[in-house]
Amino acid sequence: MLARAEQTDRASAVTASNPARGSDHRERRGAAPFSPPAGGLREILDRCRKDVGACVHRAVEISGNAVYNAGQAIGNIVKEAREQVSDQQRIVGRIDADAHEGGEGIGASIAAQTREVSVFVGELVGHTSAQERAADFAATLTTDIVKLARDIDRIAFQSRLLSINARIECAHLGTRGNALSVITNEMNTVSEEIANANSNIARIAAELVRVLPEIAKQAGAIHRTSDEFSLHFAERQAETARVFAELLSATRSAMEQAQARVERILEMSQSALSVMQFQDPMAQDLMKLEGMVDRATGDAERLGLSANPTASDSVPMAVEQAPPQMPSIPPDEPAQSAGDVMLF
Amino acid sequence: MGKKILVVDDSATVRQQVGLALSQAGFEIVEAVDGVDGYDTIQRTPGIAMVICDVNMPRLNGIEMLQKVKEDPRFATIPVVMLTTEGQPGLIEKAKQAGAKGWIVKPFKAALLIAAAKKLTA
Repeated sequence: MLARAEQTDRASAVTASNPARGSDHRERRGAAPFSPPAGGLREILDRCRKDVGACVHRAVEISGNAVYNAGQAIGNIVKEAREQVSDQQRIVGRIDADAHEGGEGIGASIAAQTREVSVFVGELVGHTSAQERAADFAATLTTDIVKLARDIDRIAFQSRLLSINARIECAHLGTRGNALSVITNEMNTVSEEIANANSNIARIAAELVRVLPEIAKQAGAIHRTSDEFSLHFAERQAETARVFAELLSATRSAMEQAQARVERILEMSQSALSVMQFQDPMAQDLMKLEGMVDRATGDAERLGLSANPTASDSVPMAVEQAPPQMPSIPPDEPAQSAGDVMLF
Repeated sequence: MGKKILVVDDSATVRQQVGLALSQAGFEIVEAVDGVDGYDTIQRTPGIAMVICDVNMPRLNGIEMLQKVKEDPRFATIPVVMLTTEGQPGLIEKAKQAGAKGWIVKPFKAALLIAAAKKLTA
């Protein structure tokens, strides 16, 4: 359009600068009718048709290749994105199942271990408590033993004292007291043996009294350690549960973000694909153009514009003369429009 | 492979577009550039299920090629559909009398072309 306007402007300028020349030109055209080129209008239209066809083919081919390549690339992106979504959904599903459905999941495993440790610590605390009670009881018994040992020691002392008194009385009796003297000696020996045995019992009891508090102290330490372990383990368990919940939450969040990103990619890909669908209407328009040229060629044939022009093909172009009337095409009036499909 | 459809048109663009549309629908496409080439292709390519043919072509136009195909008893049963920019009733009637099974005016709509091809090759 612009080129044609420039040409018209240029022609106007030439005529304006030299009016006489323009007048001569009109006279010359009026005197001699314009004839088509040697090849005839049909040949021009054929050439035009071929040129347009080649351009259209090239344009459609380039467009088609570009769209095909872009479509392939987007298709690959979409396929990969869908696979990612599928993988992420699978991972999230597995995490959910592990966390909430129990059994083989991480959460269930932690809970099971926690229960086992709690049972173990509870049993340990029970044992240490029993041990503490036993130690206290043993300490009480030992105290009783010590008391008994004192009583026995006192009795042994009195027995020895009695045997001494008896020996003295035997000595006063003289020979008559010899038999009794033997008994009193034996009583003195038994008293000394009882005193020695009692001394051993007292020593052992004293040792027990010294050791038993240490045993009770150790049992108490075990008890306290177990309590501390239980408390610490409970805190660790809560910490583990919290970290696991945070991990689960972070994983879900990451998965949701990734899924959102993938969905965004899918939307963009779909948008790109829909934008690229211009290719089909464009190709249709180009084919319509080619069809117009094709139809013009057919019309030229029906008008009788042969490849070898004769005088009858000459088209008078004088301005003064009436423009040539294009013969109408009847009786073949177009009855079908573009895109129509008619099956017989 | 799908059913074979011969596309006869001197426009490479039209052949490309028809081929693209029909191949996406599962058809196998064979191409010819004019009526002479189209008739030769029918003779040397077994199993052609349908012919889609332009009308205005050099050497041998579509109507003439249609007449030759229908006169040959080996190929008379192959459905032929004309695909052209022409829409004159006279030409359509002429094609119908020559044995054409359909008439499609360019530029065609891919969905309608596919539907016609599926119907005529069923």
